[in-house]
Amino acid sequence: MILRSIAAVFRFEVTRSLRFGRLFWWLALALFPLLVAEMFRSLEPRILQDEREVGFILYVLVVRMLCPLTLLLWSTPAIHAEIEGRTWGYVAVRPGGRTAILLGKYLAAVAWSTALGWISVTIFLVRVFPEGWSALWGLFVELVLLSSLTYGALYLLIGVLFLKRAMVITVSYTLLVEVVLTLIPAIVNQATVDYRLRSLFFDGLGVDLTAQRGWSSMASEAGPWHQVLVLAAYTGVLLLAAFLFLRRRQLVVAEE
Amino acid sequence: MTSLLELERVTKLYGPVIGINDVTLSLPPGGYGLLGPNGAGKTTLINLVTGQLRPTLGRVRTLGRDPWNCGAVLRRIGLCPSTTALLPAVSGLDWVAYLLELQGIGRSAARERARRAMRMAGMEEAMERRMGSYSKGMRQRTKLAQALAHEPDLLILDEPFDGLDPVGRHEMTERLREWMREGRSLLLASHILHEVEAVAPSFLLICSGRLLASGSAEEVRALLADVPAEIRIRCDRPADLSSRMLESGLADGARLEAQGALLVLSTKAPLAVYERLPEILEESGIRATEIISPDESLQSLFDSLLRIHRGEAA
Repeated sequence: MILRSIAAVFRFEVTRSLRFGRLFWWLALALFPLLVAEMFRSLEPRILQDEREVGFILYVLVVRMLCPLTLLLWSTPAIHAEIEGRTWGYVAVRPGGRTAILLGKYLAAVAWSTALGWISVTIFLVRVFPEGWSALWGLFVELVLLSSLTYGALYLLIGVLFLKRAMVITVSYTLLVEVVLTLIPAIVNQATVDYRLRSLFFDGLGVDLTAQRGWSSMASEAGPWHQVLVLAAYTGVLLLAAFLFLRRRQLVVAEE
Repeated sequence: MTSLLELERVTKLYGPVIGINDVTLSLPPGGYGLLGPNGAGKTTLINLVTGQLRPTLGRVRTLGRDPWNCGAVLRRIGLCPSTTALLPAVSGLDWVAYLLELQGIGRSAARERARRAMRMAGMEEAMERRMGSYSKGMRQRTKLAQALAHEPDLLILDEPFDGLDPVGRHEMTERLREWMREGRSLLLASHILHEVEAVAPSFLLICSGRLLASGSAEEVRALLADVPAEIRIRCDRPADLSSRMLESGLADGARLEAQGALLVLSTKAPLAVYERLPEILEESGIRATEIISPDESLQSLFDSLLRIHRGEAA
């Protein structure tokens, strides 16, 4: 029954988002990496002709920017939007309503982020790197999906823990941990989502970063399945924590 | 028979603020009006019995079980919250069908039931329209539809008459009466006495988080029969008028307020006071500029009950 409720929330959220304004901005975001690439190429026509250069810019712009940004807008305010919109009372008194809202909205956020990432990567590769697009496309399909699932769960948990100022806290966390901490060449960077995605990315490109002097701590030596399993475990633990916190929280809509 | 609601010494604190204070009650299935002025604790009580809040102290049972995270209880409750905010870009039909799906009902059955509930709530014409275009009355009817659509055993309504015009109020009253005639249970929270009286046969009177009284309308009136009413008189010689009223035996007590400018008479016979007051004023030559009578409103009822509660009235 709970699966049916989760599916209902997912369908409802996706359907009500299919509005012209939102689709316009979604498409504009999907075109953003291509616009950046075209801008670079207009300044220096010889760049972005190599698989590694194309992969690097796609990794930064799509996997590390677009997907987390979409999830920041969708996943973080999943519960707060119901409280703010005063609709929480209607869903919270349904059997399994809290869980259904949490996971249904999470899946909707992941779906939007993944679709955005895939479309963005496809447009980018077809336009910028038509001769070698197929090799990179498979890698980025995987990276976009994993990025969306893991960051979606992380941001969902932050949104449940900090209903007020969740956006600010999420952005701060991302900058501090997923941008700064992840680049520190020490064992602590292994705790970040980016470390796992980065390891998968370099592995997919065939770059052995660990063999290069000074870069050994920036990527994992373990195989790709290890990274996928770690990211899956992250996602599971984060979702479970969000579920347990929400289940314990006493949330009511303030009187008008 | 399982109780509808059972509260055992329930207290709910929001930090230092008391929402509900040591409330104990046990209600068999039936219709109840939850009466209290704004901020009395009605919504807190509703949130407790619908499992959205947990009591700080005490024990809550709804339909025989602890409602907190209890799907079995939630499946049997229909709640119409006080908020009028609805999703503006979604049609009433889609929204009610969606909430029915969250109730565990299949997609096509949910849509059919939602259609039926919207029709029953008088929303047949507008059910396909976006809720952003609904009037306040239409919103109330849509809210009622979502609470009724899954045919709950207990319907809980928080201020359902807010924003309704007289016709809408009449229609809502009739619908709720019909619900009661079907032998179902109802908890109707309002701050307006006559609205509740028209639907529910029994009352729970709550003020400042405390349950002050409960029972039928007659029982509550009987409780209040011996409670003195307060009449406020603004005049040029309040002290003089005070002694005359006490001497005449019309007033049981008197005090001066507003730096001696306002006389507050306490009387068990307000009608006799109104009858004799013009005569007394004329005889004494006292000029009264304002007489404030205790009205029939709920607030005065609660003022009286609070006085009983505090031991200020016999």
